Amino acid sequence: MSSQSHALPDEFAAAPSSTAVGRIGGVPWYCYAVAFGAACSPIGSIWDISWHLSIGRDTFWTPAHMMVYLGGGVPGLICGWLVLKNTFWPDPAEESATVRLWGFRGPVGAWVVIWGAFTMLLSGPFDNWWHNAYGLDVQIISPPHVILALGTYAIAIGALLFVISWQNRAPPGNYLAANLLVLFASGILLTELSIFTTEYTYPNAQHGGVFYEVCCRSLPLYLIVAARVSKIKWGATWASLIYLTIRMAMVWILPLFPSEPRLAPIYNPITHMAAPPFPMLLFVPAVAIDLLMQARGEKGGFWRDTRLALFLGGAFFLLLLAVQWPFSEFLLSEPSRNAFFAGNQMWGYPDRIGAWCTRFWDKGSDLLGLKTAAAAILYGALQSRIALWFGNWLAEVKR
Amino acid sequence: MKSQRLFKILALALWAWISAPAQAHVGSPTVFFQGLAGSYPIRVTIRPPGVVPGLAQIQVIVSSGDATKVTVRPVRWDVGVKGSPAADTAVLVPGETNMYSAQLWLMKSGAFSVFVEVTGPRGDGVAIVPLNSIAVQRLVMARGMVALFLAGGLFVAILLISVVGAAVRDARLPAGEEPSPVHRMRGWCARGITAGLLTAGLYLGNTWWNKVDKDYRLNRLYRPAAIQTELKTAPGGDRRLVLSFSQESHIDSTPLVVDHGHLMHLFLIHEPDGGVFAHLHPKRVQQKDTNESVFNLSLPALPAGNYKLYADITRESGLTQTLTNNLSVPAPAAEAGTSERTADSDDAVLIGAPKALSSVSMPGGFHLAPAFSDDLRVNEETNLVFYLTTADGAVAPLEPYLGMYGHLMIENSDGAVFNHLHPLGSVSMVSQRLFAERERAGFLANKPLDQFCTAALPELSFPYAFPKAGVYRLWLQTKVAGKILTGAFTITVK
Repeated sequence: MSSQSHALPDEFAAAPSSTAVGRIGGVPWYCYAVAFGAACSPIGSIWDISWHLSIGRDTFWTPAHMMVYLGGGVPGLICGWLVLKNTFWPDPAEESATVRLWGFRGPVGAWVVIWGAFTMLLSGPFDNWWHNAYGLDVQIISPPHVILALGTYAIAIGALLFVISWQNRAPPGNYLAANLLVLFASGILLTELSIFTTEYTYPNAQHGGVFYEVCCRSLPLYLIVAARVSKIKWGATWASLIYLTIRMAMVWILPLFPSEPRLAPIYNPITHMAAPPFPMLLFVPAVAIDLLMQARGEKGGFWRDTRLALFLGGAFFLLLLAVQWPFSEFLLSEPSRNAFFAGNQMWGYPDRIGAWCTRFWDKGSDLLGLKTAAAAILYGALQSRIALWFGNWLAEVKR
Repeated sequence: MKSQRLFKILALALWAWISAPAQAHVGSPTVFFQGLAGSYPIRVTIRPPGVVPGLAQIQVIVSSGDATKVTVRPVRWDVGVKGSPAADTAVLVPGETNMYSAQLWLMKSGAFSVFVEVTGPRGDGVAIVPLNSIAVQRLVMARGMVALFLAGGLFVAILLISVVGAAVRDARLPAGEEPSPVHRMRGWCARGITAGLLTAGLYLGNTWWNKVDKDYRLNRLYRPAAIQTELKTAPGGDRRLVLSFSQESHIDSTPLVVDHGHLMHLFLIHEPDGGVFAHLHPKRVQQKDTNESVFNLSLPALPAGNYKLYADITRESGLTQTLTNNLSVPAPAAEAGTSERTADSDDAVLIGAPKALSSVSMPGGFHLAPAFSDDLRVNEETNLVFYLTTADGAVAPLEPYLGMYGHLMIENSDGAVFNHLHPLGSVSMVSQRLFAERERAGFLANKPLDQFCTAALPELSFPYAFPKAGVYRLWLQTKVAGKILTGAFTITVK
C-alpha cells in the first residue's frame, strides 16, 4: 500500500470520462449503487413502521428489515471494496482523489459509509438486548434506534459525500449525472429526517407549536445544502420532490397489500397495510429557499451567510405554516379519505379508533403562539446557518 | 485497580449499563394447567416473558395422543377473541408424539388468557389458561455483552474521530495534493471537537438510558401492591387484623371478584420455621369515596411471633395478585384462651413445623402420603402427587374444599416464592370462568369447555416446576367428612 500522493497534472485528473467502461453519464456504477443502496434504509424504515402497525409480529427476517439491511449492506460492502481496491490495487487517477486513514485509502464518502455500516451492525445486538430488557419497542425513538438511525444517516451522508466529490471534480458541462445523484442523496437525507420526526409530524400535530419547532430544527438542513451544492438550479426543490416522491409512493403502495394483525389486543382490525401519513408539501418552502439562495448569489462571507440564514429560517417557517396549516385540516377531513391522500388510514391495529383520530391534538397545551413561532424561526435560522456552513464545505469536497 | 476503574468509566461512556438484580416477586411466573380441552386431556405450560411486550413460550401435551391439530391464541380480557389475532398452530416437538410448542407475543400488561384448541377424531375442544402479562424482570447485561459493546463502541468511536479528522484534513484538497501543516492542524482540531461531541452525546445518551430505566422500574415493572396491616386488640381479648390496600394499580384497577367463595385468601406463615400456617378469609369493609379496599378478620389465637403474610386477590379482568407484608403477632391475652377457633368455616390453622417428605398422620386417622421423588431440580416440571388414605388404607372420600379437592401452598424459605396450586394447576378458576363468560355468546358458543372442578381422583396431583433452588415448605389442604385437613412438608430443591 502506498501513503504517497500521486502528482497529477491538474485537479481534475481523477475526473470521470463519459466514455469509460462501467460509467453512466461519467459517473461509475458504484456511485449509483451507493446512492440507491442508501435509499433502501428510509424505504425499509417506512415499510417497517407500517409493518408494526399492520401486522405487528416481526422477526429479524421480515422484508422491511431486509430492506433496511440492504441499505446498510450494499453501500457498506461497495465502499469496503473501494477502500481495499484503492489501497492494494490502486488506479493512480482514482487513488489520488482519496483520503488516507489507518494506512488505507478511500474516498471520504466511502469512509463515512463504512462507519455507518459498522454502527448499524453494532446497533443490532444492542437493540436485541434492549427488547429483552425493556420489551419489544413500540416507539421509534429509543437509544438503540438512535444508534441505528445514526448508522443509516451516516450512510446517506456518506453517499452524498461520495457523489458530491464526483460532481465537484467533473469537468464543466459533464456534471449532470453526478449532480442528479447529489440531489437524490439530499432527498434521501431529507426523507430520513422526516422519518425520525414522525412522532411529531402527524397531520393531527400540525396546528401545534412542537410540530413547527421540530420541523424548523431539522428539515431546512438538506434543502439548503442541496441548493448550495447543486450546480443546476432549484436544488432544494429537486431534493424536496425526491422526498415527496418516495413518501407518496409508500402512501400509495403499502395499502395495496392485504395484511392481518398477528398480535393481541387488536383494537382496530385493519385488513391492509397502514399508510404512512401523507408527506408535507416541503416543495413550497423549498422553492422559496432556492429563490432566496439564487437572489443572494453564491457562497458569501460569514455575515452575509448569517443574514441569509435569518431570511431562510423565517421563510421556511412562514411557508411551512402557510401550507401545512390548511393542508393538515384537509388531511383530517372527509375529502382526504381516498387512495391518493390516504387520510385517516395511518392507524394501526393497536389504536382505538375514535374522535381523536380526526382532530388536532393538544390544542390546549401546545398552542402555536408568538413565542413558539419566534422560537421556531430562531431554530430555523440556526439550522439554516449550519446548513450554509456545511453546504459551503461540501461544495469544495473533491475526494 | 486502575484497569477496573477504566473499565467502569468505559462502561459508563458506552452505555454498557448493568442493572440491579431483578426484584423478588411472589410466585414463579410459569403457568401450569392440566385439565380437559373438550374430551382431550391436556397439560399446558406457559413461560411468560419477563418483559412486556415479550414472547411467551407455550407447551401443550395432549395425553391421549390423538390430536391432529393444536392451536393457541392470546386473548386480552378487554377485547376478547374478537380482538385477538388468528390462532397459531402449535408444532409437534421433534421426536415427540403428543407434545406441541408455540410462541405467542404478549403486547400489553394485564390479564390475558391463552385459548388452547385441540382438534382430533373426537371433535374440537377448548381450554382457557389465564395468565398475568406483567413485566417482572430487570435484565442484567452479561459480561460478554458488556465486552462486545465496549469493544464495538470503542471501535466505532475511534473510527468516527479518525474519519472526521481525515475528511477535514484531506477532503477538499485537489486530487494528488498533500495536506499542508494547516490542513493537518485542522484535522486534529476536528478530531478533538468530534471527541468532545461524542463524549457529550454519550453523556446525554446515558442520561436518557437512566430515564428510560427509571420509567420502566416505576411505571412498567410489576410491583405487588402494598398491603397495610393493623392488629387491634379489643378489651375482651379478641384481636382484629385490619388489612388495607389501594384499589388503584398501574396495571389494573378493575374491582375485586370472589374466587373460591371469598374476595381474599390470606395466608399467614410463621417465620422462620414455618411452624404455624393459617389459611384465613377476611371480610371486606365497605369504604365509600375512597379507592382503598379495607378487609378485617378476627384473628385466631396464633402463637406469638413474626409471620409472613400473603393475600391472594383476583380482579374482574382476571388478573390475580398476591399482596405481601410481615406481621408481628404478640402473645394472646390470657383470657382469650389458646384454641384455634376461626371466624369462617373455610378458615384453617395448622400448628406444627413442616416435616421431611414422608407419610403423615392426620386427625381422624387419615394418612397423607407424598408420592413423588424428593430429588427435585430447578425448573424441572414435575407432578407433586399425594394420596390421602383412611386408617384402613382405603382411598379417602375427598370433598371439594373452596371449589377444589386440593390446595397446595408452596413457599420458599426465604419468602421469594409463594404459590397457591390446585390439581388443575396454577391458574385461577375464577379468571378462567370470567374469560369463558365473556366468550359464551361468541367464540365459545357450542364449544365444550372444561373449567370446573371435575370428579375426585384417587390422587391429588399438582403440576409444578420450582423456580429456584432452596428449601421449600409445602402445605396441602383438603377436606374429608366436613373437616379441613392440612399436611405440611419440607423439601430441598437443587
